[in-house]
Amino acid sequence: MSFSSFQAPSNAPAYSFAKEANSGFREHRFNPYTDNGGSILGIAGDDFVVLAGDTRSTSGYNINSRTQKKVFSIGGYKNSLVIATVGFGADARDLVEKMKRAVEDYKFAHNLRDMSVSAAAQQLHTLLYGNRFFPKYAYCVLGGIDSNGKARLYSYDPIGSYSKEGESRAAAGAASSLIVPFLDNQVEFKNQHTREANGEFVEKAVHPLPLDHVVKLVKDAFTSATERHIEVGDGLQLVIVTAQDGLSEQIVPLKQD
Amino acid sequence: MNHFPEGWGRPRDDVYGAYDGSHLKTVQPGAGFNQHTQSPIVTGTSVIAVKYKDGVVIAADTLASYGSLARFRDVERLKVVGEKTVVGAGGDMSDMQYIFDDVLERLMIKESYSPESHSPLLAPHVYTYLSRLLYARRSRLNPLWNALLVAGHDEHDKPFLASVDLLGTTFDGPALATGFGAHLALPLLRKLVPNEEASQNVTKEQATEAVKAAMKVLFYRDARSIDEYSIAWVTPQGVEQSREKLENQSWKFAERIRGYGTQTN
Amino acid sequence: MFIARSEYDRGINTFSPEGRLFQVEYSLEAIKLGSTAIGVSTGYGVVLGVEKRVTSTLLEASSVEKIVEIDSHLGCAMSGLQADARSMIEHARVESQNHRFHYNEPLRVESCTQAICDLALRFGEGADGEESIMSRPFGVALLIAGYDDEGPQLYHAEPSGTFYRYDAKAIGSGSEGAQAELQNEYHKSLTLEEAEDLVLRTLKQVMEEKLDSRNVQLASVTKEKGFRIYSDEEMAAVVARL
Repeated sequence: MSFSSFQAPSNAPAYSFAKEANSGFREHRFNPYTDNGGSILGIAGDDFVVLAGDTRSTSGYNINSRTQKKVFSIGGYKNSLVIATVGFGADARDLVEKMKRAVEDYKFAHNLRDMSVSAAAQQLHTLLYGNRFFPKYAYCVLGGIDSNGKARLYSYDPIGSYSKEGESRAAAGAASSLIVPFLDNQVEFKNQHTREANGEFVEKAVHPLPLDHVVKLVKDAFTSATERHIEVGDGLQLVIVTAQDGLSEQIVPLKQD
Repeated sequence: MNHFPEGWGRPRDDVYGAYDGSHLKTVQPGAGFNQHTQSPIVTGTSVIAVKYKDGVVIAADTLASYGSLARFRDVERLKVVGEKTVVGAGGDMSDMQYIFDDVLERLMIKESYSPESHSPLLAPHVYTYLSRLLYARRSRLNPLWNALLVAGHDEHDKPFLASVDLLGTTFDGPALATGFGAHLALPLLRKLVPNEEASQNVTKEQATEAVKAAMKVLFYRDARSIDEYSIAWVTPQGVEQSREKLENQSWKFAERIRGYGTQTN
Repeated sequence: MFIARSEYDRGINTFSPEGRLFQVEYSLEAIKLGSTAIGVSTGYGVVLGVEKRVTSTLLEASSVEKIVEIDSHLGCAMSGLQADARSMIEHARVESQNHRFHYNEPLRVESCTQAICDLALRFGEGADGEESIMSRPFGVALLIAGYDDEGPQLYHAEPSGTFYRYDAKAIGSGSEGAQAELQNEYHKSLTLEEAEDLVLRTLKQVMEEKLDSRNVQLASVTKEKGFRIYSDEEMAAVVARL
């Protein structure tokens, strides 16, 4: 802006109008972000967490890969910490690498103690918020088992906001708008009512779900999302963490269309 | 990604709508600022590659375009790194030359000083190195305007093929193609190798045939391509490379195309 | 003037031919001039006690601060150059808050001690590119008491940067006699009250002045109340029990 275009304050109401681009060079900017599609979700039971994501990576209408995983084990307490990320693939990958390093650093800085899931949750917040002014464009869901053997699940936006109390379920990515209401209904029993003996309808009480039921919900969520969202499909990566048996992973085929 | 390298790394109009540049500042020429690459100048088009049971075959044509001008007709876009890795590049040719002749040469010189017992520089190492480089450069908003394919094998002699672009986006697969190839060649290549298992039953001859067919299609339909290309086969035994020229061209089909150029009916 | 030391005590980071760092060893001597401080760890918590050396009747005893808080679950007692302790404690406080900020959990006692000891050898000329922050070693030793998920713990940190965990430890001018007394009297099943008594009894034996509730200070770290410096009334009550 040149000084000649400066106007002294007046009492007239201040509105900004977009100016017509005038002569001179027009500055274009490189866009450092892209969206690689896909979806993730996480459900916490009483003593287990399930994190899942589809294995498709996209660029616009192209499919980059049908086998790219979105859920990663990062070690920590009883090797139970897992992160699912979705959004811009390169940022997501960088974030997971940084979390792996943070977990390792913590271990060596604290006499080989493993990072707890709540500590990892705060660490991930710091990492994301540390990039507040050049955000890592990645939505994250973090899961793990705490020192009481209970499941913990946290979800984040790209600049790091999260709830310290954790949540029972979380979904993010391309098909989150399809999956979230499904989980509301099936995990939190939203809009489900039961009839009392006196004939009155009351909200169905929420209780932690058993593992086999949760796995069914996850598969249903992703087969449905695959039907309705073009960026979701190919394969479903399911990572299950339990207090007793630790970590296990399975890949279930999804439609490739 | 599409076949306009100048479009890579920009917000997609179909997602965000046409760019409204009205708020942009105008920059006075000669003002003392550093100009980062905001668009590629001389560009190369697709690179395509397929895994087969003992290796990877990779190909790229030899044209470097200046807009619609076929500026340089004999540019090598495949680079052999060490003994058992080939990197193919599309996008900006000066950035490619920086990567090939500066970055990768330096890496190879450094590698040559390490003891014999040191595990050799393999494709996964070159790939991780390049993907970190491209991501670091995009994070400094000074990207290397390229799409790269890295072909070779891992420490268990399993074929390796992966891709990284100017944003640092990474992925791998049994068949990959950059640029226009992602639209035209990849569907053809995926017919041969729909998944990783399928690539283990494909012979060198089958893979080569598929790549040559795809290069032919790309030459006929990609206006920024040329009828000469470099092709390389990477196996644990080493790299074999050759030049191919598309012979017996037939443009008969062009007569039936309507609606372009000077035709009036 | 310099008979035995052969002038290897001039350079602050220079080994003597026998492999000794004299300046670090001298800094340990500085602690032996300091007032006595004692820590006793029990299953219920850790008790810290110091003598205050109220050298004048005109001195306001409450202004002598030899036990300080690091965090709500961490405290420390010092002996030696108090001013040096201030920068160590400042560092420990920052580390503790940083840990809460990064990990949403309290800093563990051992990690806190480690953080303090990381400072200890940053004297003399810095290595290439690394900034040195002190011209000489610290002249103070600390007893760090805290509570974490491993229970109540007591650590002793020296100017040499070494640290050890103790059940009971005495530092300062009366430390030799006090440590012998602790050795005899300590047992694993001490209650917190018994630990208070042990600390005061031991202090009483090694103090030149007559012990009263003004010239000693007690503090404790427990699971329930965290770090706490005893009030005048509590001090009076404990001293009265002696």
